[in-house]
Amino acid sequence: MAFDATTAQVETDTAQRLTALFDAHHRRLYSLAARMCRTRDDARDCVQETFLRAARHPGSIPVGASSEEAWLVRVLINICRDGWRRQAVRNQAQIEPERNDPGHEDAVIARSLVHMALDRLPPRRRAILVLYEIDGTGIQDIARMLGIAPVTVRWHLSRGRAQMSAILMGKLR
Amino acid sequence: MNEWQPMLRHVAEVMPLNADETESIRTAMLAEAAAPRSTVDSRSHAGTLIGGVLALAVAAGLVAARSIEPAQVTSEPDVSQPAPAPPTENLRHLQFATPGGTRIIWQFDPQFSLREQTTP
Repeated sequence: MAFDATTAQVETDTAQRLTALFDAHHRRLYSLAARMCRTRDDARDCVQETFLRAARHPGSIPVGASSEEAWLVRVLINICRDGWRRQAVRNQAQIEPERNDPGHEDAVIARSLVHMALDRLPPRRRAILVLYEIDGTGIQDIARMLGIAPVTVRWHLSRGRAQMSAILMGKLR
Repeated sequence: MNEWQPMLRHVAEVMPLNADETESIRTAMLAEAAAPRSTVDSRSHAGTLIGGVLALAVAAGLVAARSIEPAQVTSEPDVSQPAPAPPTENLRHLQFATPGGTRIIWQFDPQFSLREQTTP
C-alpha cells in the first residue's frame, strides 16, 4: 500500500516536472526545429520526439533551467540529424528548385534555396549556423549546449558561412 | 555581413505552434511518461542475456588457451641447464643449447695434442 502511494507520488512529480519543462522550453525548441527542418510538420515531429525522450528518461534530465535547456537542445539536434540523414538518403535524386518556373513565388524560391544550402552542411555545422545566425544564440551558449569547445563553434561558424556563401551566391548569380 | 545572411533570417521566420498542436505534444509526452516501460525492460533482459553469452564465450576461450599453453612451454628447450650428453665410449662431449634453441655439441678429440710451433 505504501509502495503504491510512493509510486503514485513519483509519477505525479515526474508529470509535474515534465509539464514545467514543456511549458518553459517548447516555444524555443520549436523555433529552433522550424529553422533546421524543411517543413513545419518535420519540426513539430522533432519537438514531439524530444519531449517523448524526456518522458522516457526523466531521470537523465539535469536540474536547472540552463542545463535542462541544453539537454533538450542536444536531444533535438540529434533527432533532427537522424531525420536529415534519412531525408538525405531519400533525396539522393531530388531535383533542385526550378528558378524559371513562373508559378513559384520569390519567397518560396528563396526559402527553398536556403534550405537546400543548409542541407548541404554537415549536421552539427548546420545546427551551429542556425543557432548563431538565426536564433541569435551566443558562441559560449552554443558550446555549452552542444558540449564542445567555443573555438570549435567558431571554426564551424567560419566554415559554415563560407559554404553557405559559396552555395547560395553560386545559385543566385 | 554576407548577402545571404539577411535572406537566411528573412526566410527563417517561424509561425508558432497553435494551441491544438501544443496540447497534442503535451498530451503525448504525459502519456509516454505514464506508460509502462515494458520495451525498456525487455531490451535490458536481452542485453543481460547477450552479455552472459559473451562472458561464457570469453571464459571458454581462456580455458582453451590455458590448456594449449603447457604443451607449448614443454616444447621449449631448457637453456638454463646443459643438455645431457649422449652416451659415448671414449669421446668427451660438451653440449648446450642457445636461447634460440640451437643445440651445440663440442666433441673433444682424445688424440689431439698441441704441437710445438717451430720458428722458420
